[in-house]
Amino acid sequence: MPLESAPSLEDINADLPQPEEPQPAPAGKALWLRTVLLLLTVLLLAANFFWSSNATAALRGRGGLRGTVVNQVGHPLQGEALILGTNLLVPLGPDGSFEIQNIPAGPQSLIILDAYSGLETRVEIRAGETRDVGELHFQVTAEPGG
Amino acid sequence: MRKEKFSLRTAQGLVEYALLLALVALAGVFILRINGLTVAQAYCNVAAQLGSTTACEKAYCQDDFSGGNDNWNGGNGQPAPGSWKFENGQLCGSGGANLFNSCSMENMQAADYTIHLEDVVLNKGNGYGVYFRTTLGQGNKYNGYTFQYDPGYGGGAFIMRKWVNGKELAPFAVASAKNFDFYGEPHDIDIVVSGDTYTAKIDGVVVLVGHDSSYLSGGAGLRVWDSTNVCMDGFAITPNQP
Repeated sequence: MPLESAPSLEDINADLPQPEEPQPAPAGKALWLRTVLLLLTVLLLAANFFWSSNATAALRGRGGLRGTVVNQVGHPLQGEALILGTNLLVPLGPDGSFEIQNIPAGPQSLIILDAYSGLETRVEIRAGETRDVGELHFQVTAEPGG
Repeated sequence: MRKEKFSLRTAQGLVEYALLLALVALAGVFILRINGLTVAQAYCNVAAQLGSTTACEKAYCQDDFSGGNDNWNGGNGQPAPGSWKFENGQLCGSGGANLFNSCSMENMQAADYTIHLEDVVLNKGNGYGVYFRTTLGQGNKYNGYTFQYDPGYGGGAFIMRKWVNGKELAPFAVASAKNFDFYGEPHDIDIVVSGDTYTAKIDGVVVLVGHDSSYLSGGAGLRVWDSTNVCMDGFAITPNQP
Protein backbone atom coordinates (compact mmCIF):
# COMPACT_ATOMS: atom_id res chain seq x y z
CA MET A 1 0.00 0.00 0.00
CA PRO A 2 1.44 3.30 -0.97
CA LEU A 3 2.05 5.62 1.82
CA GLU A 4 -0.25 8.22 0.36
CA SER A 5 -3.28 5.90 0.45
CA ALA A 6 -2.62 4.69 4.00
CA PRO A 7 -5.16 5.90 6.58
CA SER A 8 -4.01 8.67 8.80
CA LEU A 9 -3.57 8.23 12.53
CA GLU A 10 -6.71 10.28 13.09
CA ASP A 11 -8.69 7.89 10.86
CA ILE A 12 -7.39 4.86 12.71
CA ASN A 13 -8.21 6.47 15.98
CA ALA A 14 -11.71 7.34 14.76
CA ASP A 15 -12.34 3.65 13.91
CA LEU A 16 -11.36 2.49 17.36
CA PRO A 17 -14.14 2.19 19.96
CA GLN A 18 -14.15 5.43 21.78
CA PRO A 19 -14.22 5.36 25.59
CA GLU A 20 -17.35 6.76 27.03
CA GLU A 21 -17.05 10.27 28.18
CA PRO A 22 -16.88 9.97 31.94
CA GLN A 23 -19.71 11.63 33.74
CA PRO A 24 -18.47 14.30 36.07
CA ALA A 25 -18.88 13.34 39.71
CA PRO A 26 -21.62 15.20 41.53
CA ALA A 27 -18.95 17.33 43.10
CA GLY A 28 -21.38 19.90 44.44
CA LYS A 29 -23.45 17.32 46.33
CA ALA A 30 -20.40 15.57 47.79
CA LEU A 31 -18.94 18.85 48.93
CA TRP A 32 -22.26 19.83 50.50
CA LEU A 33 -22.46 16.52 52.37
CA ARG A 34 -18.93 16.88 53.65
CA THR A 35 -19.59 20.42 54.78
CA VAL A 36 -22.73 19.38 56.66
CA LEU A 37 -20.89 16.48 58.31
CA LEU A 38 -18.03 18.76 59.28
CA LEU A 39 -20.41 21.35 60.73
CA LEU A 40 -22.38 18.72 62.65
CA THR A 41 -19.22 17.32 64.21
CA VAL A 42 -17.93 20.74 65.15
CA LEU A 43 -21.33 21.66 66.61
CA LEU A 44 -21.45 18.42 68.62
CA LEU A 45 -18.00 19.03 70.07
CA ALA A 46 -18.73 22.68 70.77
CA ALA A 47 -22.00 21.76 72.53
CA ASN A 48 -20.19 19.22 74.69
CA PHE A 49 -17.52 21.69 75.76
CA PHE A 50 -20.13 24.38 76.31
CA TRP A 51 -22.39 22.29 78.54
CA SER A 52 -19.43 21.11 80.59
CA SER A 53 -18.21 24.68 81.10
CA ASN A 54 -19.29 27.30 83.58
CA ALA A 55 -20.75 29.37 80.77
CA THR A 56 -24.07 27.51 81.11
CA ALA A 57 -24.38 28.87 84.64
CA ALA A 58 -24.57 32.35 83.20
CA LEU A 59 -27.39 31.25 80.92
CA ARG A 60 -29.32 29.63 83.75
CA GLY A 61 -29.08 32.76 85.87
CA ARG A 62 -28.25 33.18 89.53
CA GLY A 63 -30.11 33.30 92.78
CA GLY A 64 -29.61 33.52 96.52
CA LEU A 65 -30.03 31.53 99.70
CA ARG A 66 -30.56 32.53 103.29
CA GLY A 67 -31.24 30.75 106.55
CA THR A 68 -30.22 30.22 110.15
CA VAL A 69 -28.21 27.40 111.69
CA VAL A 70 -28.55 26.21 115.27
CA ASN A 71 -26.63 23.53 117.12
CA GLN A 72 -28.01 20.46 118.85
CA VAL A 73 -29.20 22.45 121.84
CA GLY A 74 -30.77 25.19 119.75
CA HIS A 75 -28.04 27.82 120.13
CA PRO A 76 -26.79 29.76 117.08
CA LEU A 77 -23.95 27.88 115.43
CA GLN A 78 -20.58 29.55 114.93
CA GLY A 79 -19.10 28.50 111.63
CA GLU A 80 -19.44 29.14 107.94
CA ALA A 81 -21.74 28.41 105.03
CA LEU A 82 -20.58 27.65 101.50
CA ILE A 83 -21.81 26.35 98.21
CA LEU A 84 -19.90 23.22 97.24
CA GLY A 85 -17.88 23.53 94.06
CA THR A 86 -17.84 27.34 94.15
CA ASN A 87 -15.83 29.92 96.06
CA LEU A 88 -19.01 31.28 97.65
CA LEU A 89 -18.39 31.18 101.41
CA VAL A 90 -19.78 33.37 104.18
CA PRO A 91 -19.29 33.26 107.96
CA LEU A 92 -22.39 32.61 110.05
CA GLY A 93 -23.62 35.67 111.90
CA PRO A 94 -23.79 35.90 115.72
CA ASP A 95 -27.39 34.69 115.48
CA GLY A 96 -26.38 31.79 113.19
CA SER A 97 -27.81 33.47 110.12
CA PHE A 98 -26.30 33.52 106.65
CA GLU A 99 -27.09 34.81 103.21
CA ILE A 100 -25.29 33.83 100.03
CA GLN A 101 -25.97 35.58 96.74
CA ASN A 102 -24.85 35.05 93.17
CA ILE A 103 -25.33 31.26 93.28
CA PRO A 104 -25.72 29.60 89.87
CA ALA A 105 -29.34 28.47 89.47
CA GLY A 106 -30.05 24.75 89.63
CA PRO A 107 -29.35 22.00 92.16
CA GLN A 108 -26.59 22.94 94.61
CA SER A 109 -25.08 21.62 97.84
CA LEU A 110 -25.20 23.98 100.80
CA ILE A 111 -22.47 23.08 103.29
CA ILE A 112 -22.48 24.28 106.89
CA LEU A 113 -19.16 23.85 108.68
CA ASP A 114 -18.25 24.22 112.33
CA ALA A 115 -14.74 23.76 113.70
CA TYR A 116 -14.61 20.00 113.02
CA SER A 117 -17.41 18.75 110.85
CA GLY A 118 -20.01 19.67 108.26
CA LEU A 119 -23.63 19.35 107.26
CA GLU A 120 -24.67 19.03 103.62
CA THR A 121 -28.11 20.10 102.40
CA ARG A 122 -29.26 19.81 98.81
CA VAL A 123 -31.07 22.92 97.62
CA GLU A 124 -32.60 24.09 94.36
CA ILE A 125 -31.59 27.64 93.46
CA ARG A 126 -34.00 29.61 91.32
CA ALA A 127 -32.75 32.44 89.12
CA GLY A 128 -33.58 35.88 90.42
CA GLU A 129 -34.90 34.62 93.79
CA THR A 130 -33.41 34.43 97.26
CA ARG A 131 -34.64 31.23 98.82
CA ASP A 132 -35.13 31.02 102.59
CA VAL A 133 -34.26 27.54 103.91
CA GLY A 134 -35.39 28.47 107.43
CA GLU A 135 -33.70 26.98 110.48
CA LEU A 136 -31.17 24.23 109.91
CA HIS A 137 -30.25 21.91 112.79
CA PHE A 138 -26.56 21.13 112.80
CA GLN A 139 -25.81 17.57 113.87
CA VAL A 140 -22.35 16.58 115.05
CA THR A 141 -21.17 13.95 112.60
CA ALA A 142 -17.70 13.36 113.94
CA GLU A 143 -18.03 10.41 116.30
CA PRO A 144 -15.20 9.31 118.52
CA GLY A 145 -14.68 6.52 116.05
CA GLY A 146 -13.88 8.97 113.31
CA MET B 1 -11.14 21.27 29.25
CA ARG B 2 -10.47 17.59 29.68
CA LYS B 3 -7.84 18.36 32.30
CA GLU B 4 -10.35 20.40 34.29
CA LYS B 5 -12.84 17.49 34.33
CA PHE B 6 -10.10 15.18 35.50
CA SER B 7 -9.31 17.43 38.44
CA LEU B 8 -12.99 17.37 39.49
CA ARG B 9 -12.91 13.57 39.60
CA THR B 10 -9.96 13.36 41.98
CA ALA B 11 -10.56 12.07 45.48
CA GLN B 12 -9.95 14.01 48.70
CA GLY B 13 -6.82 16.06 48.93
CA LEU B 14 -4.28 15.65 51.67
CA VAL B 15 -5.82 18.41 53.76
CA GLU B 16 -9.26 16.80 53.47
CA TYR B 17 -7.83 13.45 54.56
CA ALA B 18 -6.17 15.13 57.52
CA LEU B 19 -9.42 16.88 58.44
CA LEU B 20 -11.38 13.64 58.18
CA LEU B 21 -8.85 11.80 60.35
CA ALA B 22 -8.89 14.60 62.91
CA LEU B 23 -12.68 14.56 63.01
CA VAL B 24 -12.81 10.79 63.40
CA ALA B 25 -10.26 11.02 66.23
CA LEU B 26 -12.19 13.84 67.92
CA ALA B 27 -15.44 11.93 67.58
CA GLY B 28 -13.75 8.89 69.16
CA VAL B 29 -12.45 10.94 72.07
CA PHE B 30 -15.90 12.52 72.47
CA ILE B 31 -17.63 9.15 72.58
CA LEU B 32 -15.11 7.86 75.14
CA ARG B 33 -15.62 11.00 77.18
CA ILE B 34 -19.40 10.73 77.36
CA ASN B 35 -18.91 7.15 78.47
CA GLY B 36 -16.58 8.25 81.25
CA LEU B 37 -13.43 6.70 79.80
CA THR B 38 -10.06 8.16 78.95
CA VAL B 39 -8.15 7.23 75.83
CA ALA B 40 -5.54 5.55 78.02
CA GLN B 41 -8.18 3.43 79.72
CA ALA B 42 -9.69 2.45 76.39
CA TYR B 43 -6.24 1.45 75.15
CA CYS B 44 -5.68 -0.61 78.30
CA ASN B 45 -9.06 -2.29 77.93
CA VAL B 46 -8.43 -3.22 74.31
CA ALA B 47 -4.90 -4.39 75.06
CA ALA B 48 -6.19 -6.54 77.91
CA GLN B 49 -8.90 -8.05 75.69
CA LEU B 50 -6.23 -8.91 73.14
CA GLY B 51 -4.31 -10.83 75.78
CA SER B 52 -1.70 -8.31 76.83
CA THR B 53 -0.68 -8.78 80.41
CA THR B 54 1.66 -5.84 80.57
CA ALA B 55 -0.09 -2.90 78.89
CA CYS B 56 -2.08 -1.83 81.94
CA GLU B 57 -0.10 -3.26 84.77
CA LYS B 58 2.00 -0.21 85.40
CA ALA B 59 0.96 1.45 88.63
CA TYR B 60 0.29 5.16 88.65
CA CYS B 61 1.97 5.37 92.05
CA GLN B 62 3.38 2.76 94.40
CA ASP B 63 5.51 2.40 97.49
CA ASP B 64 6.88 -0.60 99.34
CA PHE B 65 8.03 1.74 102.15
CA SER B 66 11.68 0.72 101.80
CA GLY B 67 12.74 4.21 100.73
CA GLY B 68 11.55 6.27 103.69
CA ASN B 69 9.02 9.04 103.54
CA ASP B 70 10.16 10.73 100.32
CA ASN B 71 6.89 9.91 98.61
CA TRP B 72 4.66 11.23 101.37
CA ASN B 73 3.79 14.55 102.96
CA GLY B 74 1.61 16.13 105.59
CA GLY B 75 -0.16 18.37 103.08
CA ASN B 76 0.80 21.54 101.22
CA GLY B 77 4.51 20.94 101.26
CA GLN B 78 4.70 19.95 104.91
CA PRO B 79 6.87 16.89 105.65
CA ALA B 80 5.32 13.61 106.63
CA PRO B 81 4.19 13.91 110.25
CA GLY B 82 6.20 12.03 112.83
CA SER B 83 3.24 9.93 113.86
CA TRP B 84 3.70 8.03 110.59
CA LYS B 85 6.83 5.87 110.68
CA PHE B 86 8.62 4.13 107.82
CA GLU B 87 10.52 1.21 109.31
CA ASN B 88 11.51 -2.27 108.18
CA GLY B 89 9.60 -1.98 104.92
CA GLN B 90 6.41 -1.05 106.72
CA LEU B 91 4.42 2.11 107.19
CA CYS B 92 2.87 2.49 110.61
CA GLY B 93 0.60 5.28 111.80
CA SER B 94 -0.52 6.16 115.28
CA GLY B 95 -2.27 9.01 116.99
CA GLY B 96 -4.12 11.49 114.81
CA ALA B 97 -2.55 12.72 111.60
CA ASN B 98 -3.01 12.81 107.86
CA LEU B 99 -0.47 11.50 105.40
CA PHE B 100 -0.81 12.30 101.71
CA ASN B 101 0.77 10.42 98.84
CA SER B 102 2.81 13.01 96.94
CA CYS B 103 2.83 11.10 93.66
CA SER B 104 -0.95 10.89 93.42
CA MET B 105 -1.66 14.34 94.83
CA GLU B 106 0.74 16.13 92.50
CA ASN B 107 1.15 14.17 89.32
CA MET B 108 -1.63 11.71 88.69
CA GLN B 109 -3.86 12.61 85.75
CA ALA B 110 -6.27 9.70 86.02
CA ALA B 111 -9.60 10.34 87.72
CA ASP B 112 -10.47 6.65 88.01
CA TYR B 113 -8.13 4.21 89.70
CA THR B 114 -7.78 1.52 92.33
CA ILE B 115 -5.97 2.09 95.61
CA HIS B 116 -4.43 -1.06 97.06
CA LEU B 117 -3.09 -1.39 100.59
CA GLU B 118 -1.15 -4.56 101.26
CA ASP B 119 -1.43 -6.55 104.50
CA VAL B 120 -2.88 -3.83 106.69
CA VAL B 121 -3.01 -4.68 110.38
CA LEU B 122 -4.99 -2.58 112.81
CA ASN B 123 -3.33 -3.20 116.14
CA LYS B 124 -5.49 -0.97 118.29
CA GLY B 125 -7.71 2.10 118.29
CA ASN B 126 -10.80 3.30 116.54
CA GLY B 127 -9.68 2.76 112.97
CA TYR B 128 -7.98 4.30 109.95
CA GLY B 129 -9.04 5.95 106.74
CA VAL B 130 -7.92 6.05 103.13
CA TYR B 131 -8.33 9.33 101.25
CA PHE B 132 -9.28 9.21 97.59
CA ARG B 133 -10.11 11.86 94.99
CA THR B 134 -8.59 14.34 97.41
CA THR B 135 -7.12 17.75 96.63
CA LEU B 136 -5.39 20.24 98.88
CA GLY B 137 -6.41 23.88 98.95
CA GLN B 138 -5.12 26.92 100.76
CA GLY B 139 -4.21 26.41 104.41
CA ASN B 140 -4.14 22.63 104.05
CA LYS B 141 -7.91 22.57 103.61
CA TYR B 142 -8.42 19.33 101.78
CA ASN B 143 -11.45 18.24 99.82
CA GLY B 144 -12.19 14.67 98.90
CA TYR B 145 -13.42 11.38 100.29
CA THR B 146 -12.31 8.74 102.75
CA PHE B 147 -13.05 5.08 103.08
CA GLN B 148 -12.84 4.23 106.76
CA TYR B 149 -12.08 0.89 108.40
CA ASP B 150 -13.88 1.96 111.49
CA PRO B 151 -14.46 -0.27 114.53
CA GLY B 152 -15.32 2.88 116.47
CA TYR B 153 -18.29 3.89 114.33
CA GLY B 154 -21.61 2.52 115.54
CA GLY B 155 -20.02 -0.51 117.17
CA GLY B 156 -18.02 -1.35 114.04
CA ALA B 157 -18.60 -0.34 110.44
CA PHE B 158 -17.12 0.46 107.05
CA ILE B 159 -18.03 3.96 105.97
CA MET B 160 -17.33 6.57 103.31
CA ARG B 161 -17.21 10.24 104.13
CA LYS B 162 -16.95 13.44 102.15
CA TRP B 163 -14.49 16.13 103.26
CA VAL B 164 -15.02 19.85 102.68
CA ASN B 165 -12.29 22.35 103.56
CA GLY B 166 -10.66 19.78 105.85
CA LYS B 167 -13.87 18.98 107.74
CA GLU B 168 -15.77 15.73 107.66
CA LEU B 169 -19.38 15.39 106.65
CA ALA B 170 -21.80 12.69 107.72
CA PRO B 171 -21.06 9.38 105.98
CA PHE B 172 -22.71 8.95 102.59
CA ALA B 173 -22.25 5.18 102.73
CA VAL B 174 -22.28 2.92 105.78
CA ALA B 175 -22.08 -0.85 106.15
CA SER B 176 -22.46 -2.13 109.68
CA ALA B 177 -19.83 -4.72 110.58
CA LYS B 178 -20.35 -5.40 114.26
CA ASN B 179 -19.22 -9.01 113.94
CA PHE B 180 -16.15 -8.29 111.83
CA ASP B 181 -12.81 -9.00 113.51
CA PHE B 182 -11.13 -5.63 112.97
CA TYR B 183 -7.92 -6.23 114.93
CA GLY B 184 -4.70 -8.17 114.63
CA GLU B 185 -5.21 -9.84 111.24
CA PRO B 186 -3.61 -8.60 108.00
CA HIS B 187 -6.11 -7.55 105.33
CA ASP B 188 -5.69 -6.32 101.77
CA ILE B 189 -7.74 -3.19 101.17
CA ASP B 190 -8.84 -2.10 97.71
CA ILE B 191 -10.80 1.03 96.86
CA VAL B 192 -12.01 1.16 93.29
CA VAL B 193 -12.74 4.73 92.20
CA SER B 194 -14.80 4.82 89.03
CA GLY B 195 -16.99 7.73 87.94
CA ASP B 196 -19.29 8.53 90.85
CA THR B 197 -19.10 5.00 92.25
CA TYR B 198 -16.65 3.95 94.92
CA THR B 199 -16.24 0.31 95.86
CA ALA B 200 -14.33 -0.85 98.93
CA LYS B 201 -13.06 -4.40 99.14
CA ILE B 202 -11.41 -6.27 101.97
CA ASP B 203 -9.41 -9.28 100.87
CA GLY B 204 -11.16 -9.08 97.50
CA VAL B 205 -14.68 -9.07 98.98
CA VAL B 206 -16.87 -6.03 98.40
CA VAL B 207 -17.84 -4.56 101.78
CA LEU B 208 -19.18 -1.15 100.79
CA VAL B 209 -20.30 0.77 97.71
CA GLY B 210 -20.84 4.53 97.78
CA HIS B 211 -21.98 7.10 95.24
CA ASP B 212 -21.20 10.81 95.11
CA SER B 213 -20.31 13.19 92.32
CA SER B 214 -18.93 16.19 94.21
CA TYR B 215 -15.28 15.49 93.43
CA LEU B 216 -14.18 14.21 90.06
CA SER B 217 -10.42 13.97 90.48
CA GLY B 218 -7.69 13.97 93.11
CA GLY B 219 -5.11 11.85 94.85
CA ALA B 220 -4.81 9.52 97.82
CA GLY B 221 -3.70 9.57 101.43
CA LEU B 222 -4.13 7.98 104.82
CA ARG B 223 -5.56 9.09 108.13
CA VAL B 224 -5.57 7.82 111.69
CA TRP B 225 -7.28 9.22 114.75
CA ASP B 226 -7.50 8.81 118.51
CA SER B 227 -5.37 5.94 119.79
CA THR B 228 -5.13 4.03 116.52
CA ASN B 229 -2.04 2.04 115.62
CA VAL B 230 -2.01 0.58 112.12
CA CYS B 231 0.74 -0.90 109.93
CA MET B 232 0.86 -1.91 106.28
CA ASP B 233 3.35 -3.50 103.89
CA GLY B 234 2.60 -1.80 100.61
CA PHE B 235 0.65 0.90 98.77
CA ALA B 236 -0.21 1.16 95.10
CA ILE B 237 -2.54 3.05 92.81
CA THR B 238 -3.24 1.21 89.59
CA PRO B 239 -5.57 1.61 86.62
CA ASN B 240 -8.95 -0.02 87.18
CA GLN B 241 -9.24 -3.52 85.82
CA PRO B 242 -11.64 -3.80 82.85
